[in-house]
Amino acid sequence: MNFKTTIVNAGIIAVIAAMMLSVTFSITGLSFSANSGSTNVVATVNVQTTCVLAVSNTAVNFLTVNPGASTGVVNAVADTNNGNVGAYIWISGSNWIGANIAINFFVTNTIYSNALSSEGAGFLFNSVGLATGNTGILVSTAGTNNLFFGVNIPVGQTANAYTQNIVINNVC
Amino acid sequence: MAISKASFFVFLLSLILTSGIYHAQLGQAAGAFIINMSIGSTAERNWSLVNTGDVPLGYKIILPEFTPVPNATAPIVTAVPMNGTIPAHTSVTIKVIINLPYLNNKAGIRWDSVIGSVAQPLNFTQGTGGAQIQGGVGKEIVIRAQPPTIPPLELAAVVIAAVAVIGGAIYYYKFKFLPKYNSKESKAARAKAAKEKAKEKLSKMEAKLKVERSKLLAQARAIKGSRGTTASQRKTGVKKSKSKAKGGRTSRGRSARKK
Repeated sequence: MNFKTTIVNAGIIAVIAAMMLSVTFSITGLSFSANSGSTNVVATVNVQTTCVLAVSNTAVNFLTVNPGASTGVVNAVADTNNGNVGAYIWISGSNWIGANIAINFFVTNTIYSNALSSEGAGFLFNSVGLATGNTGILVSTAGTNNLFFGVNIPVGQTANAYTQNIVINNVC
Repeated sequence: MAISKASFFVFLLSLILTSGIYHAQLGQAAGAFIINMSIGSTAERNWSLVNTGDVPLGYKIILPEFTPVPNATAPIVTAVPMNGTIPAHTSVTIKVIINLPYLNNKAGIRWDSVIGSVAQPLNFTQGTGGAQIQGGVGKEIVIRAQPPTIPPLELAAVVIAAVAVIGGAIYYYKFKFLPKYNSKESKAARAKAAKEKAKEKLSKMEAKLKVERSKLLAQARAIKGSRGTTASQRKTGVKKSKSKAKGGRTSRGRSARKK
């Protein structure tokens, strides 16, 4: 009987000891975690591929031109791409509007090239259109490309001051 | 001296303007919008514009103009917002909404254009002559028309409507129409109606028979009348017996011939 009681008592003591031990471990674990000062924070950032446009000037003055004459493709607009990916230059324009809007001439009389040229009318330069079109000129990353503009004045065009909008877009 | 001061001021102003334009740089996230669209559907894309400059930058969206395709309707592109201001070193998202009309379009048609965004510096001034240059970035939009499909939502709506109609019809037939139809009152009413109908039919038939009978009687009377008179009798007004008219085949005639 005594022997049995001793065994039971020993078992109870062992269980209590095990519980205490586990409590001690858990407390130790908690305190260890809370007091740690070496937690790592992983920071990530994805950089977007972009193309950016900055034009050198916001206006081109073609000065005074005779009817039937051309300015030549001499008026430069520098297109700078500050992005991290190359971009193609697309352009479009509006018709030339006189001070009196009843008199005007077509946007296609505006010509452009990526090379300077004193020649204008009669030469195969690209024309600016109402719909945006790809010039095929690539502006590389952090690069600059010049676009030269000219205008052919139609024969018999009424003397006036004419204005036009030209839109230059970097497409990427 | 005054002129030189004015020219210096103009120079200073132009320098400020130029520097402002130089720093205001409009950029965009790279990559074209290549969209396979069902005819008659709408698609949305987010277009990120960025101002990499040191000053706020105004922008304006220029919607694409698609090259016309014969016998087809070009996609309709809208952007929200169409203009605004981007603070320095900040980006904005433009929602581009593309609708491919159902009318005239067929699968396989390809549309290609560029949606543009031009920078409009806040100190922008319209020139008095020559060409005004507007710089910006453009996003290529390529649309490939796919065969039209019924959107799942619409399909679900059609199915639900069909189920509702059929279910309603069954419910009405089973719980409203049939009990009424099988009720004693309904049966009695139907029997009464059938009786009345039969009566009506009978009376109609009787009337018809009456008419026919009277017609037949009239005809019979007419035939009887025509057999009783000859043409000469009708002329003289004297009636002859049948036997005499046919050559004396009477008993008197027969006895006379024996003699």
